[in-house]
Amino acid sequence: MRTTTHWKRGAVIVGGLAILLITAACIGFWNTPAPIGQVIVGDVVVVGTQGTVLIAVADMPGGGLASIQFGDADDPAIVMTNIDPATVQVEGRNGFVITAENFDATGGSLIALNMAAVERNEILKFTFRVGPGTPEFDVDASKVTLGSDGEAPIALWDLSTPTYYGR
Amino acid sequence: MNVRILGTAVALIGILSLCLLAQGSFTADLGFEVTFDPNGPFIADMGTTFELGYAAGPVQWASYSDCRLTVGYLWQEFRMDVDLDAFAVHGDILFGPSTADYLYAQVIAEMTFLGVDVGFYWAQLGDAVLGGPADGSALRIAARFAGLEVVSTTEIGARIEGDGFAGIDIVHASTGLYRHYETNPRAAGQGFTGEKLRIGGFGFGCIGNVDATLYFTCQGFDFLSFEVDEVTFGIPWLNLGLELTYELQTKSLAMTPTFVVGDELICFRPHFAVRLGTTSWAIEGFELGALEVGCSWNGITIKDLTVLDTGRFVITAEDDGSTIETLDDAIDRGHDFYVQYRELLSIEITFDGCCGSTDRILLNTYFADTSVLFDWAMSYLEMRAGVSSDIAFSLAMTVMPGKIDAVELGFTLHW
Repeated sequence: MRTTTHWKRGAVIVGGLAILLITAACIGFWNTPAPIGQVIVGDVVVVGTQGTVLIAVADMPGGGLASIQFGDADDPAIVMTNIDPATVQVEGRNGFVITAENFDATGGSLIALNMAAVERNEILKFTFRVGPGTPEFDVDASKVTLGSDGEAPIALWDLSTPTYYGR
Repeated sequence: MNVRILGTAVALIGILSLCLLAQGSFTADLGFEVTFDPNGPFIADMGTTFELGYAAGPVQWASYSDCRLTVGYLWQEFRMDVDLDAFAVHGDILFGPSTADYLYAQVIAEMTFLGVDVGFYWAQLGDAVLGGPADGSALRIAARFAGLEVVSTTEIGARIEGDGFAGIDIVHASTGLYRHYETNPRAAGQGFTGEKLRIGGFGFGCIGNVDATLYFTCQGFDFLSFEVDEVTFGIPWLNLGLELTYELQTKSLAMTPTFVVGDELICFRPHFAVRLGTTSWAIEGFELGALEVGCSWNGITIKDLTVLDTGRFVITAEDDGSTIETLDDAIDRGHDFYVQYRELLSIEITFDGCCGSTDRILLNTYFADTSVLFDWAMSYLEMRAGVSSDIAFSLAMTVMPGKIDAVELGFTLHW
């Protein structure tokens, strides 16, 4: 009998705390600013003469990233140094499908779409043959366009090149 | 600063290990793997992992190191476990030795008191990780009474794995390699960030087990879901699972009947997508999106997965169980999956090998819309054979039409 009373008292306390926190949350008591979306460009990993670059995203708003465009053929967003553009191969990750791509001496451009949306994960993998010298793979953020799951452009985001990220 | 922390941690582990050498027991596991890519550089990667464990009474320490040819000394992790029956503590700390960065730490303390399970979770993300610096904690209280299970999770800047949440991966951006942990710190210095209340274990009529989960964040209502494990119809071989989720602007219903024949010998599971009315709760139709057929007998498992709605369902990769999930679920759970294949035929054989080892052969064959016979698209072969209970060799190979895509050889040694 005494144990049952303990249970009931415990349940009432837990339930009361939950209601208190939920009510406070509903009135926005603990509102914090949403993090800014990140497009993450990994370092070039070279084995022999083959290089690899991974691109990932984190904290994408609006339900996640559903489309990404890296410039266009006349105004590419990807700048490559000591990388043979003719050997570049792009693979979509986590549901992303490449719908258009162009890599030549002036740089690289592509469009990738996803039927679902990705808030944080890898989205693209590039493999290529590297030339003599240190290969560099840079992205001009001003030429990159992002679209959210809600079919709205994502305006607030940063381009970053960290060694590690959390997902 | 980071070098000092790493150095101090290594020294402490070393000193503690030496002090306790006389009375505890050591274990060690060494793993080595080399990946060949016939289409690119001959050796695509080489990796070695070394795990050293020490146990003394209720306390266990472990050190895990991972080195790669492509990026060098990738991970150094230390773990500690203390198990005193009603009270247990688990701790992890992770470093990125190649950059001498402190990356992540977590402590989980759990105790059982008068039948109530209380868990305190704390985690911190270093500033070398994008998303950090961040820290936070969570308090999980679970109690069972009158057949009900009530679980309250109060998030104070951290989210913990389970009940639909996925924990955290610390990812090395250049390679995609990662370490996984339970406690996900959300941001630095936050107060209350969320409350999840789950009530499970109740049922009525032919409905066996219902789980109801309500989740609020500091932004307000997030979701309410009802998950039904088993709706029985008095037919022993038919079981129906349902999941109904309300979010702020959407509602969804998933239905997965399971047909089990011959004491779980053959299992047949169709995945239905339920089309709901946009303005009412009317069900407009059911769409058969995928099919799973499995058969297990005497160490042999044969499985056939067919995706009919390739925009909605996917086949997960071998490391994530080779199963069917919705595209949204696979992404949310961080699972790797094949979006390009629509069918998998899998055979797995496990058997007692030489000298006390358990050997395994797995052959997965994928099909897609190709011009090859039977629409064959890719085959994955994995074999593991032990030469003793402590030494095992492994082979993994990926073959596509016209080429061998990758070959991976490895061995593990335990002593």
